[in-house]
Amino acid sequence: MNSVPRVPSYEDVLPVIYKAMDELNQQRPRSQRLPASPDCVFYGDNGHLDSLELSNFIVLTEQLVQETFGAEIDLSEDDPFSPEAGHMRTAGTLTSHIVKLLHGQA
Amino acid sequence: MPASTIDIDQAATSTAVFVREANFADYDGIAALMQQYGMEVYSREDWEELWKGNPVYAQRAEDWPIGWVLESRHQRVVGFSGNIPVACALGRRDLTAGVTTAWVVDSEFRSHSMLLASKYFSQKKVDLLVNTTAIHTAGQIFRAFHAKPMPGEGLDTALFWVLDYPGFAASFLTRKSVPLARVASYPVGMGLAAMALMKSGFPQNVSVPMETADDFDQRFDAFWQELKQKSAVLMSVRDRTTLRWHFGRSLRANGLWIHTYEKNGRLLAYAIFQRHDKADVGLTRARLVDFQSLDEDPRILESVIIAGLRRAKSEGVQMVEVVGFSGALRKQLERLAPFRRKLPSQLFYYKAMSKELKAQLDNPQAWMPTSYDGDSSL
Repeated sequence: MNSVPRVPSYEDVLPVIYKAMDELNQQRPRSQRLPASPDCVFYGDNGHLDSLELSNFIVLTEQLVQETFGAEIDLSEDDPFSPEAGHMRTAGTLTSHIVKLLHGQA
Repeated sequence: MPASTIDIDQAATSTAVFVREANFADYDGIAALMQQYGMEVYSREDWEELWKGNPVYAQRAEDWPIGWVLESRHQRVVGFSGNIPVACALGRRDLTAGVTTAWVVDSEFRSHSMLLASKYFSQKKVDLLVNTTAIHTAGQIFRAFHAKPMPGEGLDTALFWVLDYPGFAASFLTRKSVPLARVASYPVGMGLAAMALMKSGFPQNVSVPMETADDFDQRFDAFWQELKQKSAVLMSVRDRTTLRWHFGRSLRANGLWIHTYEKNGRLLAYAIFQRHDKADVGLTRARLVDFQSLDEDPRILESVIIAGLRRAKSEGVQMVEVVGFSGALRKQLERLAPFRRKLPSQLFYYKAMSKELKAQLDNPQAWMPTSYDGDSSL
C-alpha cells in the first residue's frame, strides 16, 4: 500500500527560508545580516531588504522550495507586499504562506 | 477622480508610506521626483497626453489606473510607477498591454518600492504587462514577479552607425569623464572611421525609391490592416490614430522622420527614425524605432537605412542607432551596421496574464520587438 506523502509543516519550511536568508547574508556586511528569526522583517518600516534584494530573495526561495519539496510555487501572487497582510513581510508570514500553498497543492 | 474612490493601503506598522492610485493632479510631485533623479521630465501637457490622447485609454478611462504613487505621511510623492494602456494584436486576437513607465522611488523609501510593483502586477483587466526600458533592478523585479525576457537574439545589444566621428568620439569620451575629451576626440574618431570602413559592406545608393512624410495619413490605416492580416507576431497596433498619439510629442518637436516606400499609390513599407539626443554629453542621436514592410525585398531595408543616414548627416546627427528586431530583419541590420554596443541590461520584459497567452508567447517566433513597443519611443 502506498503511503500518503506528508504535507510539509511550518517547522519543515522555516529552515528553507533561513537557507535563502543565509544565501542573501553572504552578500551583506556582517553587521547587516538577517537574523534567523520568524520575526525578521523583510520590507517596509524596519525592513532589511531593498527592492533588488527582495526580488532575488523571491526567486531564491521559490527555487529552494522546488528543490526541497518538489513543488512549484509563485510567491508574487496574492499581493505579497501589502502593508497589512503581505506574506513577504516577515520570515514567519512567508513560511505560513508557503505552507498554505503546499497544502493547496497536496 | 474623486478622492473617496482612490484605493489607499495604509502601512500597518505606522507611518512611512502609503500606496495609492495616481491621478493627474499628482503631476507636480511626480515631475519633481523624476527631476531629482535625472530622469527626462515631460511637460504637464505631454505627460497627460500619454493617457488623455491615448485611443485605448479613451475607452478604458473608467477602469484604467494611470499608475500608482507612494506618498509619505506628509503627503509628498516619494515614488511613482506609470501604467499606459497599449493596444496589441496577435493574429486575429486583440489584446491590451499595460506598459510600465517612469518608475522612480526616492532613495529614502526604496524598501517600499515593491508596493508599486505589487500593484502593477496585480492588475486584472489586462492581457499582458510590458517593460521595454528595464534597467537592471527593474529587470530583477520583473523576474521576481514571473515576467520573462522577451525571446530573441540581440535584444541586449544596440547596433549603430557613426556619421560624425570626432563629434561622436567627443561625446563618448565626455561620458567616460576623459579629460580633454574634445582634443582626444580627433584621433579616436579617425580610428572609428577606419574601423567602420573595414567592417561595412554597405551599399552606397538607394536601390528602392523612398519618400518622406510629415505625418501619418490614411495610407497607414490600410497598411496596418494588411500588416495585421499577414503577421504572426505580437504587434503593438500601428493604425493612424495610434501612431499619431504614440509619436505626438516627437511630431510636435519635429523630431520624427517618416520614410515610406509605395508602389502605385499603395504603401508597402515605412520606417520611423526618432531623435534621441543626450544633451548632457553633447550627443546627437537618431534611432530607427520602427520598420514594417509588406514586401520582403531586402533592398527596402537597405534603402531605408541609407535614407535615414543621409537625413541624419544633413541634420548634424552624430550617430544612428537601432535596438530590437529579430529574425531575418535583425540579421540584416547586423550586417549593415558597423558598430554595436552591449546595453547595460536586457531591456525587454513581458508577463502574459493567461495560461493560453503564456503558451503562445513562449514561442520565440511570436516576437519582433522594436523600440515602438513599450514606452521607449513615446
